[in-house]
Formats: sequence, structure tokens, C-alpha cells
Amino acid sequence: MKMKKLLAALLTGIMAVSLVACGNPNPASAGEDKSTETTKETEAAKTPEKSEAVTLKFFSNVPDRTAGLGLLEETNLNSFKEANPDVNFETEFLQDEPYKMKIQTYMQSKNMPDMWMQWGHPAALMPVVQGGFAAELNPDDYKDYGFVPGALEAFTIDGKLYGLPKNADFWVLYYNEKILNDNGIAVPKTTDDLIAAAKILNAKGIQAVSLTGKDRWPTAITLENLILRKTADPKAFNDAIKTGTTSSNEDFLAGVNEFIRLVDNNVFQPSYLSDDYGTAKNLFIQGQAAMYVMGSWEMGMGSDETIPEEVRKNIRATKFPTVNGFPGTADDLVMWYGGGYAVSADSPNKEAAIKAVSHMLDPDIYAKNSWQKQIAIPPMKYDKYLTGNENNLQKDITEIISSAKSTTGATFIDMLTASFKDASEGLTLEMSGKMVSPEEYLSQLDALVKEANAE
Amino acid sequence: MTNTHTLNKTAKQKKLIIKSIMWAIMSLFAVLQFFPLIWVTNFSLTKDSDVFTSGILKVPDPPEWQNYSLAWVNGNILKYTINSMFVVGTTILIVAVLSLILGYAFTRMKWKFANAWLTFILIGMMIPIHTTLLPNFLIFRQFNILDTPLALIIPYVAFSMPLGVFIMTGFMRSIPRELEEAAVMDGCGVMRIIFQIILPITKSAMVTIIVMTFINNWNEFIMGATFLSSVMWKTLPFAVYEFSSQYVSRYSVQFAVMVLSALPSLIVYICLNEQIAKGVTFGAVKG
Repeated sequence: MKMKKLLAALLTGIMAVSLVACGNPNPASAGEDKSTETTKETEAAKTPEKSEAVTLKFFSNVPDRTAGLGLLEETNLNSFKEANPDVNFETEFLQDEPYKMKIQTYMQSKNMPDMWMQWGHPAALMPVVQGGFAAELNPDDYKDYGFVPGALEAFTIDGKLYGLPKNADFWVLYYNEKILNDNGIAVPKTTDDLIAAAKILNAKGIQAVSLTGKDRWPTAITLENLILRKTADPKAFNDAIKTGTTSSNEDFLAGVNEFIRLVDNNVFQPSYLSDDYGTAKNLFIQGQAAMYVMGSWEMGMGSDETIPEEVRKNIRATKFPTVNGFPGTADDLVMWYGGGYAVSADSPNKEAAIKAVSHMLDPDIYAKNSWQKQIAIPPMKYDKYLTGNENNLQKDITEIISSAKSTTGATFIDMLTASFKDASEGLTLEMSGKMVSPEEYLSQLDALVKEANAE
Repeated sequence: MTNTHTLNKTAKQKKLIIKSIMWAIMSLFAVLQFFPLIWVTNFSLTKDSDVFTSGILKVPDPPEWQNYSLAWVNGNILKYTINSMFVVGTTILIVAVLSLILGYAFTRMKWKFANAWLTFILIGMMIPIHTTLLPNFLIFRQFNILDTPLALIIPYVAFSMPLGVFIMTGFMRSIPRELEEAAVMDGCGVMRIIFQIILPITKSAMVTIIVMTFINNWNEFIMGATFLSSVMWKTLPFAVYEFSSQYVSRYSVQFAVMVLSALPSLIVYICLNEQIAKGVTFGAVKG
């Protein structure tokens, strides 16, 4: 009997604690649909001087809210809130991979946050647009934002704008000035220079160029740079991807062969196929690799206090090398507009969310801070925010972008569907691991295009 | 006589050789199992750049204890640990009670379709977590429990219960019925039989269930990432994810977070390891 009572008390305790603890701290936001209906119904009765408080859900892929882009997002949301006291924000954040998984869940359950980080270009944007999740934005509202040509196009499908870009990304070669100087190596200008440098460095146990293979897309973008050096035409490869005609072009094959030549000459670290983003970056910032191929967003390395000082102050950047005998110049850039923000088409507070996103990317706030705090290269004109106190790495990056003669505007992996992106990245890695020959690589790429177009 | 002596000697030698081989294999397994833990702990006390040294391990000279203080303060370890303890603790309680009651019902009581129900529950072990994410998300949203601990406790219980029931039914089948018959003769009710007679006997099976439930759910991240959105209820695995993206270049501090988050499971395992082995051998395998 005693036992029975004890058990009953225990179970009651569990239930009580669970229910008390599990009570939704913010019933208004969780029961969004219902509360919205109520809001709409009562709107007419609302007194004009008292506006309804709204809570906007913002989903970001930057978990660190205390520094860098995360802090900038928080600051911008707060300044919007100050100007609009009746708007509150609920920020959810996850790292890239879990972020992608969760945004899928949101899409499948038709429960999108009011505003979220959205990758541009068809591969990422198309599913969001086709599902009717992203609200259409008015390009005229952003005429004065100074977006560089091509930036808004990355978020445009069938002539309609579905998001605003926050990054202009391009591929650069970071190098450790001290390691190169100590070994009597000049900053590599061509792939032959890279191969020669690799020979010297490898003999001394230093990796030449750090590259991540596990994350797949950096390998694909590095390859695209080499193809661009051969074609010297920023649109050639991406256009051939759209039509699935890459295998009939000798120039593309030459680019792929050049990539294999770099692999064969141990330009990349031996473990690059299995090294993830963090590992590849760490090889460089811990002084174990002399160079590092990565996007321009890593310019923050120059002021990142967590990087050992002897490496940090020696990090510089240069244009991706040219190839002897190829017509392309170092001023042809593989460039794209990766990240941005989108607003939910079904959000009950769509107008407020659009205003908030527009505020977050206001050039006087975003372009200024992202440049001066070395967070990202803004996709808008930012010359008026140059302070003159930029560090060497920032100056290098500015020089690369300002001397660019042509840009691709997108990468080939982003040209078609999400499944094409996934499959083409995997195929590129197989090619770089020599599981697929360069010829087979291009013909299989064409086959993937056909599959994507049939989707 | 001499022949018997030689035979005995050969048999002894054979035994010794087999024993030595067994020891060698077991030691190899032990080293392989322990190595990652030793490695992470070792490099959590070194400088960041030491990770890339050529040696397998490195003597920290001096040990970088500040890695741990940084991990503790900036990794939200305490808050996330408390959340994890609450969620996993509640899950364990529910799973333990349900496994005991269900185990009794399936092995001792005669009722219609008992076997079919048991199979139905055990089938739960075969359902992959990923397939349940979206349906659960929709259901939890309907019930307004997303972003609350219930959104984790319910699926954790659902995924842990089949194994619990499996272990408990196997164990209970090995308990002689005479014990309960004697209790019934003395006027014992069903609940009293379960909690006063059966529970003490099933202690080792119960410990196995508790430990299995703990280990399976302590490091769970996919459901956490799907069903939680605010910081309020995030569990310990979030610390590792968030911290590694924040401190991408600080390997040693990341390792310190990993050691800190692995510590509770390690302590539980070390404390209860004898019970776990007993529970598994007496219960699940024999049953």
C-alpha cells in the first residue's frame, strides 16, 4: 500500500514538474496561427494610438552571437527594435549543417520563420521559391542601396526578387608571408609557381596549400578557377552547365587536367580529401601550411585574436594564380553572392519582416560595419566606408576586388537544382581523388545536368 | 603415470596460451576503445598548434588549464548540463517505470494479444530517428509543445522504451514464479508485487536500462536541433556544436568542451559498469 502511494506520488511529481517546466514560455509565438487570426479580427477595433506588439522569428546560421556576423545581426535587429518598439525578435541559430536540416523541416511543415538566412542562386533558392515560401520583394526599394551589378540577380528567379544578398564572395589564395620569405619563395603568380613552392615546402615538412575536400564545394570552386583561367570567359563554363555541354569543350578538359596536375604535384596537403573546413583552416592558421585557398570572407583572419599572433600578422592574400599557356588573367574572378536574407510569404507580419531585413542591410549600417569589422565583403559599394586604417589583408582583398575585370557572378554548382549541387560536388571530389578520369568527369557532369533539367 | 603427467602439462600450456591470446586481444580492444578519450583529454591541455605535431600524444608542458575555464564560461556548459540532466533524468524515470510495469504485464499476466503487443513495442527499435522528425514536428506544433522539454522527453521515451521492455521481459522470464506465488498467498497486490518483490530482483536489469537510456539520449542532437529553437532549453550537445563554430581556430578549447560534456556519461559508466555487465548478461542475452 505504502509502495502504491509512493509510486503515485512519484508519477504525479514527474508529470507536474514536466508540465510546469514544459509550459511554453511564449505562447503567443507558438500559437502563431491562432493568435494571428485574433489579431486580424481585433485590428478594426484597435485604438489608433495603441499598436499591436509583434514578434518576428529570425533564423540564422551563425551560432556565435557575441562576435562577427552574429553580433552584427543582433546589433542591427536591436537598432530596428529601438526605432520600432512594438517589434520584438526571437532569434534561433544553428550551425550550417543542422541549419540546412532544420530549414528543410520548416519548409516541409510549412512553418517558416518570419525571416531567415537564405543562400542565393537557383540551387538553394529554387526550392524556397517553388514552394511559395519566400515573399517577393520590390527591387525599386533597394535602388539606393548601391548593390553591385549581379548581386540582386543571385536572388532573382523569373524576374522576381526573393531575397537580399549580404555577401560578395570570391576565391583568393591566402598565404603566410613569413613562411614564404623564410623559404625564399616569392608569392605564387602561376600554378607552376605553386608546384615549385610545394616542392621546397614539402621537403621541409610544411604543407604548401591547404584545401578542404570533405566540405566538397571548395574543391569545386578551386576547379572552376582553373577552368576560368583556360576559357578567360566568365560565363563559358556556367552556360555550358546550363545546357549540359561541358564534355564537348576542350578548354574545360584542360582546366580539369590542370587541377589534377596540382594534385599530382602534392600542392594540396595529403589528407585534403578527408579534411573538413575547420581542419584545413587550422592547418594554415597554426602555421602548418604556407597557403590556403578559400573565399574572401576569411579576411577576418587578419584581426582574429584567437589566431596565434606570429601567424595572424603574416597572413596576406593574393589573386588566384594563373596558368602558364592559358589566356585567362588573374583579374578574372570566380565570384558569387552566397548568403542573404529572405522573408516568409506567409508571415502574418510580412511588412514588418521586410522592413527589418531592409534595415539589416542598410548600407550605412551593414556595408559600413561588415567592412570595417572585417566580417564580410558587402555586396554593395563600400568605398566610402574605407577608413585608411585597414590592415594588410584587408588592403589585399580590396586590391583583388577593385582590379577585377570580369566576374562569374555564380559558381557552377549553384547553377541548377539542389540535387545537382550535391551530386556535382560529390563527382568533383571523385575526380580529384582520381576515381573518375577528367573526360569521364565532364561527361558525367553533363549527365547530371540532364537529370537536373528533367526534375 | 608419465603419460597423464605430460597430458596435464600440455593441457595447462594450452590453457595458458589461450589465456595469453585472450588477454592480448582484450588489451588491444581496451586501448582502441580508450584511445580517442585519452587523445582528446591530452590535447585539451596543450596549445592549439600542438594538435598538428607529429607525435601521437604530447606531454602538456605546462598544462593549459585556461582551456577549461574558457570552455566552462563561454560554452554555457552549466546551463546546458542542467537542461540535459532534467530532460534525460525525466526520460530515465519514465522509461524505468514503464519498462518494469510493461515487462511484468508481458511476462506474468495472461491477456489477449499480449505477444502481438510486445512485438509491436519491440518493432520500435527498428524505426530510424530521421523518419520521425517531420511527423513529430507537426504533431508537437499541433500540441503547442515545440521548444519545450516535452518535445524531447516524449520522443526520447518512445525510442528508449523498446530496448527497456526487451531487457526487462528477458530478465523477468528468468525469475521463478514461486516468489510471486508466495507473495500472493500472503495477500500481496499486483503493484506491491511489482515494486516490492520484482523491483529488487531486477536491479541489475534496471541499471542496464537506466544506463542505456542515459547514454543513448545524453548525446542526442538531431531531435534537439529540430524540436528546440530558443536557448532556454538547449541541451549539452549544442555546446559542442556552437562552441566549435565560435572557436573554430581554438582546437584545444574545443577539446576541453568535449571532455567536459563527456564527463557525466563517463562517470555514470564507471560507477555502474559492473551492474551494466550483469544486466546485459543475465537479462537480454539469456532471455
